[in-house]
Amino acid sequence: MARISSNLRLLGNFIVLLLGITTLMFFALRATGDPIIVMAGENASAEMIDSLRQQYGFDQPLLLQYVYYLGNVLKLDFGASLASGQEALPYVLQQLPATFMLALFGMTVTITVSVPIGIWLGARPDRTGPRIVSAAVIVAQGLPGFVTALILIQLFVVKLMWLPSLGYADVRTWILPSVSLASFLAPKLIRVIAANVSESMRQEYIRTARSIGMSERGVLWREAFPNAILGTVALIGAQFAFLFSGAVIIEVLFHWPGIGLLLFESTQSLDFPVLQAIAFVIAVLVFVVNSLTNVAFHMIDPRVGKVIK
Amino acid sequence: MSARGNGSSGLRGRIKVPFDSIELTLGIVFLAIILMLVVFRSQLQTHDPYVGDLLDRFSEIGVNGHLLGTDNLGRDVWSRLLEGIRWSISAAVIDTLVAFVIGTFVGLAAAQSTGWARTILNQIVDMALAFPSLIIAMIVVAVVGRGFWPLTITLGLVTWPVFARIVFAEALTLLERDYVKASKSFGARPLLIMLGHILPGLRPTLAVVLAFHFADMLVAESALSFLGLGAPLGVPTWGNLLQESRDYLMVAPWLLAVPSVGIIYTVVAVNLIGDGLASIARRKGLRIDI
Amino acid sequence: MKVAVSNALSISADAVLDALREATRFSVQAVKLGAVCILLGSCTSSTIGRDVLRVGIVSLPPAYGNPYAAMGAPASVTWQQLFDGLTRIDEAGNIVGALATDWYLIDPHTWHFKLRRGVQFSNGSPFDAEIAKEVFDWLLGDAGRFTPVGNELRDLAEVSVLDSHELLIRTRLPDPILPNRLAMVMMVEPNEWRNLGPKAFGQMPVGTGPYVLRTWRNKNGAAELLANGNGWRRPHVNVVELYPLLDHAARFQAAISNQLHLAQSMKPEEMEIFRKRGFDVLVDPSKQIIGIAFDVVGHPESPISDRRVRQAINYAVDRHSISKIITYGIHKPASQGAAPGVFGYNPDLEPYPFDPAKARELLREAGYANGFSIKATIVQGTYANDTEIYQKVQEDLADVGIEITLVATLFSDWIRQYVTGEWRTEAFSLGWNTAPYHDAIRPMDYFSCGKARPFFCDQSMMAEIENAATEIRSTEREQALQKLQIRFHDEAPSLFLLEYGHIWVASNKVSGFEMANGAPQLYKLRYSQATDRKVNR
Repeated sequence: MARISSNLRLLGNFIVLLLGITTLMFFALRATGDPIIVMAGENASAEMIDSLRQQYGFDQPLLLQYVYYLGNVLKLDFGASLASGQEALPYVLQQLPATFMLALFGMTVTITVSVPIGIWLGARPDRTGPRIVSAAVIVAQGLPGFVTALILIQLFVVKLMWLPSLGYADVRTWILPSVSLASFLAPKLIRVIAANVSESMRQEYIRTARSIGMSERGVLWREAFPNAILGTVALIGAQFAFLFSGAVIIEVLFHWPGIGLLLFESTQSLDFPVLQAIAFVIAVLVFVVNSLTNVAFHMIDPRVGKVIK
Repeated sequence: MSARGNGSSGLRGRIKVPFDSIELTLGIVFLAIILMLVVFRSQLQTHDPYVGDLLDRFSEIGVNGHLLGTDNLGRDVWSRLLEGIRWSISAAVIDTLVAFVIGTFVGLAAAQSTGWARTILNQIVDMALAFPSLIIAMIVVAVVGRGFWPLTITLGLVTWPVFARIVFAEALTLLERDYVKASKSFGARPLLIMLGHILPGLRPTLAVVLAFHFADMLVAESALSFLGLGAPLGVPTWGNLLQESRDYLMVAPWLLAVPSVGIIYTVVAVNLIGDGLASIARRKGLRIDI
Repeated sequence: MKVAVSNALSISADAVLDALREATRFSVQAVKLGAVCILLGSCTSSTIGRDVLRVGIVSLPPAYGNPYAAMGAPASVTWQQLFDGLTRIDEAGNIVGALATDWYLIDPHTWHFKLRRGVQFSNGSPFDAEIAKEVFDWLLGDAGRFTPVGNELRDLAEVSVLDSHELLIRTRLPDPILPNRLAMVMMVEPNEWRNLGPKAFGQMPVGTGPYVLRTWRNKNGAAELLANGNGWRRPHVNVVELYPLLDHAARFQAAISNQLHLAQSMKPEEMEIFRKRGFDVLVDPSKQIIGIAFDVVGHPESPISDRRVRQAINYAVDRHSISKIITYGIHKPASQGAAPGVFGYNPDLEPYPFDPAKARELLREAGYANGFSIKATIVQGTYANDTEIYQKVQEDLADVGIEITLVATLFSDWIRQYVTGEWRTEAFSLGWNTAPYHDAIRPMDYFSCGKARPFFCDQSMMAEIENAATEIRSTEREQALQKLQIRFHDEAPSLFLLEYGHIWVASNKVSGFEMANGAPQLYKLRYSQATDRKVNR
């Protein structure tokens, strides 16, 4: 019974979230400019603009527009893109696989790099090797993601001509964007893992484990590591959520046909329907990721449920 | 980079390290150097940072009396770098504070309240997290244009939920502590509990989060500049310097390197301070999740 | 509602499945690639087997394949591959035949067009005079006249069919540049157009051009075009990919690394790098004049409402240095609102000389001896070097005491102010764009009271402008336009800067590069004999 009611509450939260986002987007976008004028072009006459306004329903009172809009959103109809004429939601969903891919590969690289390095740094924080690497990690954290991307492109695409940088049809185009994303996400993850590992190594029960003769390695992997992972689930979830909302700059630089690229292009043309559909899709994705993160939390440590609710 | 050597060995050798942590000391020394550069920038600048000589375009590092070369309009990069410190760092400081104030307030309010009020506050945080930040930036620029305040407010508006989340979670655990429960049972006002017990209890966590957040904001400014939504055109902020350099990667790579080094240096300084604070807190028995 | 939900769900499910498929494909290919790398000790070998012509452009057209949704470049770069107009403006600026082969004036109001025979649309249906009339009738009708292209045809009175391949076009006023205008009016297949409506037609356009659309966005994020089997010209290369790369650095990096055969809008300082790597560099012959216009109408109290001040600004800017140093001499200093070769260009006019002393004197006369400050709204990225040029202008003006603040804004904000005439600043970036018609009259129109909600309006010039717009005798018309150029030069409604044409680069792997209507004629491109047929990827 409690389970059902908590699921219902989750669903309620979800609906309120979507309603809030769509409403906020509707009114906020209207503050950014007039898409009809962009569409009509430089030599538009007043007559022409009025006619277009009528055609797209922008001549109605704002509240009425909002009611219509909400009614359509309930039917998952965001209208046609002002820029391309395509239905907005399918248009956005069509970009989703590319963004999924990038998030998946970016996170794979990030986690593969961060977990071993983080544990290594956390297990022996006071030795020289880990200290130097720690310093390098801090330096990497200061490098904006797009600077890394530019340097990588300059090196591997322009100078060495080993890898292409456009699109995602060719598998080799997947390497640089993933690495660029990882260079941006990994430093933080490494530091959190390291901090957690070194923290748990000092805990009481670890000392107990040592005192009953468990090997250093066993202590690290069986006791400290699982605890450290728990502390990073939230961050990994947040990073995933960030990637789903479109790593805009990385997608622009690599012409990666995902949601971020579409978001960038749509802001240029004030493509309201597409922007609204993007916000909607991102909200859904972020919600799903957050819920999954919570589930993961509960699975790893049932105690957490009580604290976070 | 000689600052690093002087900072650690000198300080450790002769005087007692003023703080309990070498990282903290080092970070403060780094930061102090940056502050000195800001204060004495008019003495240190060799050229007018806003005016260039077209004939002296793309001078390399050290050529024609330009310590760090010149940019696409022949302006002195060293002087522009110094000029940019003030803008970029104060922007990062202010938008960190904006995010901090809003986030802490909402987080505390959510922790304090119960039932519907808490649900609504948490919903607001969720909504803010799920709202595409590029669109917020675009709205701010469309309504008020590019400038110092639009930039700082945008970044503040985009990032406050980070604080709200952390403060909320931490405050909840603090509320369970015995001394808080005790003062509650004596009938202390909620506001008093928040200001008198919870906020001080959050201090170590907040100090660390603030330090790291500041570093993030420094990097974020350049991302907004990239999208044409950052500082006004021509103002030599570090984000603008990076943005302007992108078109000349092959002609003048130092234009990218110089502001990058500036940002990295500052981020390292602030991270050292954050690390130092964290290790002090750890020694005092507090656990901090970043 | 149910349908919509299940639709959306199935689409998202597809997206997820797609993602999984991609992931599998990636793993397989990555293993293969790894094996190749190990075996050959090199990863540089290309695996792309198809012959694809890859073109980097700034953006795809608004409304994609609906060719009436915008005027001229950059939209025409895409539309020129899919459609034809009746006429075409060739590389030298001459009006030549496309779907029309010949035309002449019957009387000042009536033009006679002979249409090309044997032309088919990509779906196989024939093109003839009836079809052309149907297209024009739509453009003159209620829906069409409110499109940017239909708007340019507002003075057309009537189009009638003479016989199967002959057309009469009557205009309300004499229209000497009608053949130029028609170069921008693409012929769509009217049945498809009618059945689908403009939006859906834009997704899957049908025209007579050398290429047909396969998809607007393939997995490379490019628009993919295939040779039109029914076309009246056969392209040499069968598959074209158009990459919309708005970001200049991304476009440059893609071009210089040989991922593109052809790339639009490069920067002058990159020319040496391209030449060294064997690229051809071409400057688009259809030019426009970069300028900063003054909102005299909206800011009557501002110093810029004084002609002497506007002239002073023109004297104060060192456009020769800007030309020589920032654009490496590629874009020449502008003397007027048109470039050489454009009909109505006045060869006797010289650019304002760089003369700060004269500028200060004019400012003193106008009562601004101590200078003043103004703001200018600019859009970055319209021209390849615009930001640097504006910043140099800012420095030059500071030297004569004029402090000009550059307010960079998004195009969407710029155009709102332009159309409503409500400028927040005294000046704004605006080119003199003669490019679509290659005729000087077009920018004069918007630099006058003729523009709806004008920013510069001198009634005394209107009679001359109207005369130049309707004078049918070529020599008289040219003289009228040249006289107007002098007037505009002296009135200085804008700061004249440079004569600008997009710089294109072409890899040495292709030959036959030619421009028309501000767009590359991709069907004329062929792979060079001597070199590898594949692009080195």
